[in-house]
Amino acid sequence: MKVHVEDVSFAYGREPVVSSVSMELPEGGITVVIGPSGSGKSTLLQLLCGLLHPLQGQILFDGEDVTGVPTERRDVGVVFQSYALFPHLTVRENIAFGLQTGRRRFSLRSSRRRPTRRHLEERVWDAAALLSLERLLDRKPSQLSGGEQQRVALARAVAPRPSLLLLDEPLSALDARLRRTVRAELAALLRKLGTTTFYVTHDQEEAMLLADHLVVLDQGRVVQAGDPLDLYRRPQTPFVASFLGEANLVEVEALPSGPSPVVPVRSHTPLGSFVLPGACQGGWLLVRPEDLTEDPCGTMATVLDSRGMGPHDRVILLLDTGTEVLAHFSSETAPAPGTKVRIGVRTRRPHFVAHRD
Amino acid sequence: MTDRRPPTGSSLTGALLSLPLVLFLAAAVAWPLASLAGHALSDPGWRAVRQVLAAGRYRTALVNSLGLSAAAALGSVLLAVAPAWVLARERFPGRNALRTAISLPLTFSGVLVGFLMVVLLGRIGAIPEALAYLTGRRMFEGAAYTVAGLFLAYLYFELPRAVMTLESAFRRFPRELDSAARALGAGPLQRLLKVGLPLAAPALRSTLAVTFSASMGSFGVALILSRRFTVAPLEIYTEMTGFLNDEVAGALALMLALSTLAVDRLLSVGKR
Amino acid sequence: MRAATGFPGGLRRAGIAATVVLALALLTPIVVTATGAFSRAEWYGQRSEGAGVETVPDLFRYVTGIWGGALLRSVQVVAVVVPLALAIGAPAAWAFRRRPFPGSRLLESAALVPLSVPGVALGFSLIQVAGGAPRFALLVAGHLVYTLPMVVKTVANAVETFDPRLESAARSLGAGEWETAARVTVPLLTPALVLSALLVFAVSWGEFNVSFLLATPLLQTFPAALYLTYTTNSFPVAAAATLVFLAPVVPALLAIQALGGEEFHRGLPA
Repeated sequence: MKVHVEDVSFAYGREPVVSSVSMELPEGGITVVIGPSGSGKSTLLQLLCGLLHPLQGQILFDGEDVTGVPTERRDVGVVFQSYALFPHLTVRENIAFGLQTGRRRFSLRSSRRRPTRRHLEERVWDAAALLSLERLLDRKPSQLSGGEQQRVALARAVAPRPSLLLLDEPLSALDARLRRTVRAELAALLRKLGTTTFYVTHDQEEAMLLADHLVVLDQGRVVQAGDPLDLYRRPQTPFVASFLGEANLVEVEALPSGPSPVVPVRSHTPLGSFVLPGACQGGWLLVRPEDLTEDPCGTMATVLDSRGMGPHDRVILLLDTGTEVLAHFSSETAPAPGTKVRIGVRTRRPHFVAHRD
Repeated sequence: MTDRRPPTGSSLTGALLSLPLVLFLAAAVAWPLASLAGHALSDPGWRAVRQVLAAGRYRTALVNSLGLSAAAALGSVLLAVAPAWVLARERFPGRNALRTAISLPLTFSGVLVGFLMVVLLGRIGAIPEALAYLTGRRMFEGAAYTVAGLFLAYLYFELPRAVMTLESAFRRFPRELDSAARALGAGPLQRLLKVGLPLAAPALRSTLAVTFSASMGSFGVALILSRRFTVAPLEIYTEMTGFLNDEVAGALALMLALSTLAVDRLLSVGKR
Repeated sequence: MRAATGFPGGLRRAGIAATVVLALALLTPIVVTATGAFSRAEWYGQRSEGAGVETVPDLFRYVTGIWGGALLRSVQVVAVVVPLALAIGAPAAWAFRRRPFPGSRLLESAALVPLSVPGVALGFSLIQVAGGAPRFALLVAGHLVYTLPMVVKTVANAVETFDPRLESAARSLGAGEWETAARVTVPLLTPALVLSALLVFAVSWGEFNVSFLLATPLLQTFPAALYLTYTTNSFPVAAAATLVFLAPVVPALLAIQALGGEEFHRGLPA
């Protein structure tokens, strides 16, 4: 199902939470919305599933306006942050719940009649098998571990085969180690299902691993949206740059105009001189820590701190111009604190983040 | 570092701190109730107990107490569900004032409730007077002193208990469960039947237990309102003070206490 | 948190309407009573108090005049019951959560049992076994039976909500057991203790069943006096006495609600 969000706003009282957000969820793809807490991402999810209704704007499912349609008539499956498993029902009954509600689906295409008893059992079994829950079907949620509860919540959401799957920080209740394994499994599962998915998280790694389409939200607004790697490499604001991974943002002064406003000019920065777009009011040079390398012709810097992280060493350097930068060096070559090194930038045209007013 | 006392040490602290409570419960609850039971059972041939259970005013009083309490408990819980849900889950201006108004009668003792019923439905109660003024006919005069009046008075003091007890249970319901049911396609009725009520069952049962035992022990209301319809606490009082018939009063008190406790236990079976 | 409950508008309005009706029904007799106490007593015709008691101040002066002794008794009882209930109940409640001992769970549920024992039955059996004891002591004991469960539950709930590591932290900083109690535990439990005191006060002030059974002409609490007023005095005097009874408990109820006291949901023994 193709989902369009058009100029949607929502507020609690007078406090705006979502401000004229527009986005498009690609059909069959995973759209990840990432943002700090309070950025309005969970509210956006609730607007999509109809637990809240926008004050302004439209939500379209396959071109049809569903803005005022209540949740129970939308063809959605939701995994809540707290899982919201029914404590009085077994795993089996939880999974079967959505198959027995006789939902009057809004969209005609996916409308289905209530399944027969045998069919129902099959569907429950299929969903359970998908998440390896076959042995837990007769347990109550209170008898399950956190990871198991998470799988039941997912099985319950996908069992009715919704056209849109909404996940609200589904991994945030798990401990760090479990989160890493579940993350990979979840990514594989969601790709296998091929359902249009809306996934809310504040975890950057989770976002990069899962997203086909990544949306960065801040203070109720979409800051930037697009291909995840593209967002990582070419962020349009310092916020996006530093929210997705670690970033050195090197200030660049307003450039003297070149011969023509469109001609790129060469600009000097503490990390060397680079060719930058002309006619700009200044901004920042984005240098990711992995883009810095030791370079005999580079800038002089003093190592302030160096810490082995396993895959690489995390090195904090003080440039002679007084700027502090973070670099990831491979472990064999990492310099000791106190030593002087020359560093340079690996790429010839690092990304430039322009000032905005 | 030297403070490495064994676990028995800390449980000894606990036992010492609870000692006053233990002694008090033993002296003021266990001993009197045990003596009550002892008296009734050591009595040759359980004369007093048999006297109470034989047809007559004692048995009637006990049966009346059970019936009236059950009716008041059921009635108040049924009437309390909607207000409790509204107070717990809906937001609207004046909600706190409503809650305070409903909980006000919690501070009323039984005699006060009985008096209020007389004020409303006594021989010259407010309702008969108002109706007479409006319609010119005299109606409901002295209704407070009938069984219906007694039942209304019981409802009056049970409803606040029922609403408040249920409300605090409803407030603990995870809101997301309702959202989850909606996202799975359940309409309002299905959500009530498949999620709300099963989850509320323990709260409903414990509210029934609270209201039932309050009604069984209610004495002041009946003291003011009861005319021909008698209840067990009233009989205990009359036997004890009027006729100095301590054996019968004791047996009646024992059976009243036991039946209340039994129903209370029954309603809390399977709770956690 | 602030998501709509999903009740269709009509059902929601009906629910609110039902709640309003219930509140009004419960308030009506109180309003009528208050009107009685603040209206001209002569409207009510021939009355047992005679012609001298007419104006509103007259009414209240009359009430405090005949029932002053009972008022004083009630104050005395409350003054003894509140500190005793806290002193007996609070340490035990803390112990049940922090220093459980064999049988502590059983003891905790035993402390709640009296709530479902009819007051008349308990009062009667108290007189049977300890009729020789001073009546005042019996009265206090009877009130404690019905107030201790509230103290135990309120304090135990409060102990549960604060992190036990706070006490460990105090110990690790060198505070001994007593110092930890005085500087960490008691301050943290203060709201719960205040709430408990209010609960005990409200129940003890209004307790009738045990008090009436144990009452002697010299030892009468105000609720027992209220009964006598209801049976002997005229409506304006009875109404005024009712308001005198309610004057301290209504603020207590408001304070209890402000502190979120759930243990009052059982209310007074009726």
